[in-house]
Amino acid sequence: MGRDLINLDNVYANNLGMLEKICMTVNPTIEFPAHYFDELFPKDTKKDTFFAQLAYYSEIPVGACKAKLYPKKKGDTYPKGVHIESMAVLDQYQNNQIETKFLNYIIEECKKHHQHNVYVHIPVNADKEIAWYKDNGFESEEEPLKELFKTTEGLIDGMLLKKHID
Amino acid sequence: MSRRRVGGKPKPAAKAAAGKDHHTQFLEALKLYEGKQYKKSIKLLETIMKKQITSEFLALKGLNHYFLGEKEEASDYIGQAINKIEGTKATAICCHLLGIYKRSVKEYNESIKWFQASLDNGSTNKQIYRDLATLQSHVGDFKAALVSRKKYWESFVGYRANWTALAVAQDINGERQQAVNTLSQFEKLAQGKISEAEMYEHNECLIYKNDIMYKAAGDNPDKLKNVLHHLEDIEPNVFDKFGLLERKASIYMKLGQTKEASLVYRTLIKRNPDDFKYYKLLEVSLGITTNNKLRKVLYEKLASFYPRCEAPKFLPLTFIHDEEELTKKLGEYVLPQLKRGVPAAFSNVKPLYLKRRNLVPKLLEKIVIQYLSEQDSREHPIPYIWCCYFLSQHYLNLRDYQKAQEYIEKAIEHTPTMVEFYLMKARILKHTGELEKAASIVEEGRKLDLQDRFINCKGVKYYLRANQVDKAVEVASLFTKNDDSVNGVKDLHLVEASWFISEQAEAYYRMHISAQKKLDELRAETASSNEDEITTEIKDLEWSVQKYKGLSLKRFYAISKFYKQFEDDQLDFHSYCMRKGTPRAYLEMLNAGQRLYTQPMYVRAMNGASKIYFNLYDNSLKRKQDVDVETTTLPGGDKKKAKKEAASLAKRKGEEKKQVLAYSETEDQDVFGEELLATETPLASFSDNFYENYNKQAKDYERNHILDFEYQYRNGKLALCLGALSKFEKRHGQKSGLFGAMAITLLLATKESSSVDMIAKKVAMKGLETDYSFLPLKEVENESFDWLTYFKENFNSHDLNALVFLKQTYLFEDGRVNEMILSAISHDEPLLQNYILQYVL
Repeated sequence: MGRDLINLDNVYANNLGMLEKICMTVNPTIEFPAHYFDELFPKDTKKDTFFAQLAYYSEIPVGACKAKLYPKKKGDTYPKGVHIESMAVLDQYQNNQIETKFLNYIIEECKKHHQHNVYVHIPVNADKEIAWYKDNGFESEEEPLKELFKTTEGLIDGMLLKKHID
Repeated sequence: MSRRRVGGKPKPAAKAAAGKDHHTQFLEALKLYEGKQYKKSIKLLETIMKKQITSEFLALKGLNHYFLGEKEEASDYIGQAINKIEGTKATAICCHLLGIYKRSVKEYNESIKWFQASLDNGSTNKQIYRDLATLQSHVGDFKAALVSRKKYWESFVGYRANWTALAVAQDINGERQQAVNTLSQFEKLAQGKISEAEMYEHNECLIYKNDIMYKAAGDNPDKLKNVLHHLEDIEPNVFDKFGLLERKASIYMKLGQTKEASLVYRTLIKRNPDDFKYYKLLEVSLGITTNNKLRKVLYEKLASFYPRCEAPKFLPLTFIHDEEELTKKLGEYVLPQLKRGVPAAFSNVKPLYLKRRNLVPKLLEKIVIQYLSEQDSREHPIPYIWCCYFLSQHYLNLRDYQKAQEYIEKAIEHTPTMVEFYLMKARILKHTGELEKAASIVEEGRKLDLQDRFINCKGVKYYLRANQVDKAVEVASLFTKNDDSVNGVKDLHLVEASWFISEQAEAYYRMHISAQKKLDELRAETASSNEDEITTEIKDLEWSVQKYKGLSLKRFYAISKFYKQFEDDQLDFHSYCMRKGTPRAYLEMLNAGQRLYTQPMYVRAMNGASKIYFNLYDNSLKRKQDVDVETTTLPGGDKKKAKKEAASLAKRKGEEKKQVLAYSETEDQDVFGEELLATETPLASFSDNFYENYNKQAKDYERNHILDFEYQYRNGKLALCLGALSKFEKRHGQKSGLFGAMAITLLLATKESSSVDMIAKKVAMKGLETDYSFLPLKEVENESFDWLTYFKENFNSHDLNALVFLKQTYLFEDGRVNEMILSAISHDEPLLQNYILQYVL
């Protein structure tokens, strides 16, 4: 083959639907904000910086990640740094190190943009994810933030995890 | 094709009568015309014409106007010019000008007449022969074309194009030997003088000569050997190696030298091991088409030679009988594809589902289910999903919708990012009759990949099938050029996307029927009451009925126009192909042209349009009958309100217009097809717009005899109905439902009370008596004879098409026919059932 089984590639306006589909399938209970996906390709002049990628398993899109750069601190919830907003891999394609690839990609971008911190918000009940992030060098910062996630089962608190990069 | 220059040197002798001054001025005007200075030319002509008006002045003026785009003035002046001429007695220049005009307005036969007249009246302009030959070829008068080609060739022997043209004309007229001589003669003349740039043309002409020789040789062995020698001689100079080898092989086959032939076929397979055709021919040349044992050995060997090729692996599957062995081979063929994740795995074996329905599907089902059970969905996601996809297609093919759905759901659940799966799911839903849901599923898939043109087109098609025309147009417009219009409809007409236009036409037709039904119901409900709201609703519906019907016809007609356009476009190639030296492609084009109006898309549009035209005709008959009964329209009412309503309707029309515009409005005013519908003679319009061309080209074996019958029946041409009936009977037998339906209909048309011409009735009756005396001919006038029961007892009464045919004759009790139709479709798939319920009953 000469190529890896898993590849990352950019998200384009034309395959934004894939990202949406994957995020929604993996997190069926979360209600995403209105322009959560569209904001990657804003109609007006672009202000925010996003890092979004799709992961392909032998050319099939199976994972998606989206992160946002906060060049300045924005309240207590969003300290300066890169925030991972979504990292989703279809259930059947997990255990392929796709998340690691996403994380590496985000760390790379982080360095390119001269940032030293990667953050991620996770619902407090998502034990598996929290464990995974902790395994990968994230540490929990402070107390959970109240009612951060809107889900079909009501509001859920969010945990803020941080990884420092030199 | 643009205008051609008029003859360079007109002859002063013929001009004496026009007066010298005028004549020189006329020549000046002619020069201006040739220099495309039409306005100046007209001005000059006007000064001359103050003193004297002759046909040639008028003709030139008309032509000038034509090229300025002033079509009406042009046709006016040309008409005046022709009126001044007695027969074709005019000056050579005048005739030539008229010829050019007539060619420009596509009246080719007229054009030929005037070009010919120009020559007869003393024109020395030999160029005319070329134009004449082109036109004669275009109208199919090849005999005359040969004469013209020859004349032109005599005058300009220095061009290869003229030699080629002459040879082609001779070939078409069956003068094969002369054609070969013409080509050989030129070869001799050109020997050693052919430049690099001319080599392609040269090679085409060489192999074309061989074509002619081959055709002329027939089965004569000596001649065939000659052809073979020639082929070997020209081999180094011919570029089309496939054509060359194929020719060689077929000569060997004809000569009975099968060994040599088989070697050639092996060479061909080596050149292109993916072409199934060569394998079949190899079998024939080896004489093993019936010996499965040898075939198997052959393909095993070939498979080892060409391990990456489909053909040698697939072909054994078409003939192996032993189940065990077949299972093994099927597995070897299909499983590697599923493992690799080949989306077309099912399509590859689909031909076997048709040809070996009793054997292959059940074996493959077992094989693939077994294989699927060995796949772990996490470890091997690719084989897993494609197996599910395969099985879904498999069950759909076997009409097991539930299982098909199960498997596709499994696949989507596993990998919801695969566009193919959504298409498949929609396809299953379509078959279960849930068209709206199917459309929404395709839409879901389409949103995953907005740049995928294929799924975009599918989305459009599914929306159209679900009668959601606006959505369909919106989606289609994402990929069209929408410069000056609100959507892509215009562009889709420009690029002749007949798949879209035909689907849209059919959608409009269905919407028309639905609107008509609703309207009828509403009218029946409110026959007595007279509330305002309801009358507005009725008005709205009336407009919808009319609009959809018109648009449907308009779209069908658009397709017919594409095909006419193709016919017209051929004109250029009668000279172009000669100049470029592509006689073989030229002949292919001519053949295609002769099959043009039998192409499936044209026939589909014609069948669709026939329903509307026949309905228009039947309604016009009904109107004639009801003319006295239904004179009451709206009871007085107040005029103000009526005016207001008319205004609001006009406004609505204006808005809707933009959405459905198919051509620019300057070209075509009839946006909604209202003028098409307004035809006084629906049958004649149908014939002009669709049927005549088809009728000329369709061969017996492919004809739609039912359409023939329906058309001629309405025309009162019972003898032609009888013809269609007997041709149909020869193909489908006397028990066929449609045969029965048509025969009964024809028989009833001979009733005394029917309005058909007496002689036609007698001819039809006579015919029925001689050919089909088993029909109850004596009962024709018996009003109490139960024809439907007779039909049921004697013909295949489950033939849906036959029942629909009976229904549309309006001769029988509608309720009973409907009942028969319902029982006939009770075992069909939901898609068809719904269609019949919604749009036929």
